Amino acid sequence: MDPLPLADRKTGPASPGPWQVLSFLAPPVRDILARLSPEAWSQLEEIRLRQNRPLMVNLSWGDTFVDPGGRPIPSAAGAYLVTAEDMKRTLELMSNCSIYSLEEELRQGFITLPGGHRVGLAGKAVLEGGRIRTLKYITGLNLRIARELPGVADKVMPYVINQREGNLYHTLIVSPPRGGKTTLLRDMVRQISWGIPSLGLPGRRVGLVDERSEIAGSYAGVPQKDLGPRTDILDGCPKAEGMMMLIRSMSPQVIATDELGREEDVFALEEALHAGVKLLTTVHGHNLADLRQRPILARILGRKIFERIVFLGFSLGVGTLEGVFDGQTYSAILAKPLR
Amino acid sequence: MLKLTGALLIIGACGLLGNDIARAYAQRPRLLRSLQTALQLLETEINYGATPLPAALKLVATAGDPQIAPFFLSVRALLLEPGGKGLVEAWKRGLEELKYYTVLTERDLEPLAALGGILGGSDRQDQVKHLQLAREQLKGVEKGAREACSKNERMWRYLGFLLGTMLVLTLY
Repeated sequence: MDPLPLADRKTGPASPGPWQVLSFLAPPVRDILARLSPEAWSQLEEIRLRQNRPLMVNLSWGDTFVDPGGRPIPSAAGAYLVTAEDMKRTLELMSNCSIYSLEEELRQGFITLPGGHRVGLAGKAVLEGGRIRTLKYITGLNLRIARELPGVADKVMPYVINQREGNLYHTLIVSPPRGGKTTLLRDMVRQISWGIPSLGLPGRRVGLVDERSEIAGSYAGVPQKDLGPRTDILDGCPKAEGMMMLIRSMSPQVIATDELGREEDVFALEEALHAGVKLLTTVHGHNLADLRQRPILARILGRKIFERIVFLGFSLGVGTLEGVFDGQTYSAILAKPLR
Repeated sequence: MLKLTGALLIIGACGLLGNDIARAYAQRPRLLRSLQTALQLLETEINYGATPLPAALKLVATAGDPQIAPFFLSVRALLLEPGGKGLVEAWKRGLEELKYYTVLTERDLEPLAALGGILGGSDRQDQVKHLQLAREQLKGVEKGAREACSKNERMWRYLGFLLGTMLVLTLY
């Protein structure tokens, strides 16, 4: 069966756009943010609510306060102050009036909303036996708006596909925080799962370990993002364990996961390698020298597991492809920034 | 003949009125008991099932006393209403309805009123503690209601008729 051309494919669950998040905010905050200009909405990345402090939004060019009329203002003086009642109502709406049903999420410090939007939480940690049991007095919320950008990986795919073998290279994506690596990873998974006939890549079975529910944005276990027809998702599962589970049970051809960095991840990567599975993963970082200074990453690089290392950055705006390196020889395959 | 009919009507009406009051006395402890059972159920759902509140309220309404079920259902409906006012408001309005449609008094419902600001807003352990406290308080109220019932129920059952008879005797 011929795979459909990329443009004709459905892009998964119809996403109602970033406005969807408004319904999870306390009515006063909701009304203010609803008055933000469409332009601001298109640049909106984060909404930050901190009790008794000014309402703030992060746009793609930086953060700004918001006044009661919904206008972005540079100074905190005229900004809307978030009240305790606003925080309480927002939490009620986000948790469906059931904070107690989110214990695991509170322990991890975030909840995922329908639509895959993530809410980071800050408050007072309640400890039990030296470990965090839950959070109370939640006084800081950071709502990160999840955006799907189908096609964002188009520029990367030619560099990470071995056209002779019709397979993916083991690929590591390196990016500073908020550089767009999760968005890129998501679209890469989607494209690999569908297959890219123009690059000679047939659809591959992808196993995705989504430890922080960020890639698939799963809500109640159901991915809220389109990740392709051949993708199996382990939601909220620790990376190393999840990778082993997938290899044993789902026979993936590609394993994708986010934010490598723990000791046990290395072991799991090697297991996957021996199982003949292609790896696709990301890591925080700026450049090769930076990676080499971190013990675990230095080890991974030393073993030359990855065949392609993709660097993202901001030089031409968020999501700029800064360079692609061969993981074996460290020679540059793409040296000039590309957007 | 007309006089006799009138007298019978007066006695009948007063008797029924007395009966109603007596029934209210009998109903209060039963409803208070049902509320405790409902809270127990809610506690189980929260503690063992971590069931989200709207679903838990529906379960409690289905499994519990049909006379108090509308309370839980209306709280749930208000909660799920888009642009709703939140649990505190929904709970308050639910209690007002409960007070209106049943024989329960404001004092009877005091232990429940406090729950509005607490339900769903904390972890399981905390929720369980508050639900247990409310149940204990309801138990106390129930005891009072039971005593009042044993004192007054039978009296009102007869008192209505007696008053009716007295009224007839004075009038004629």
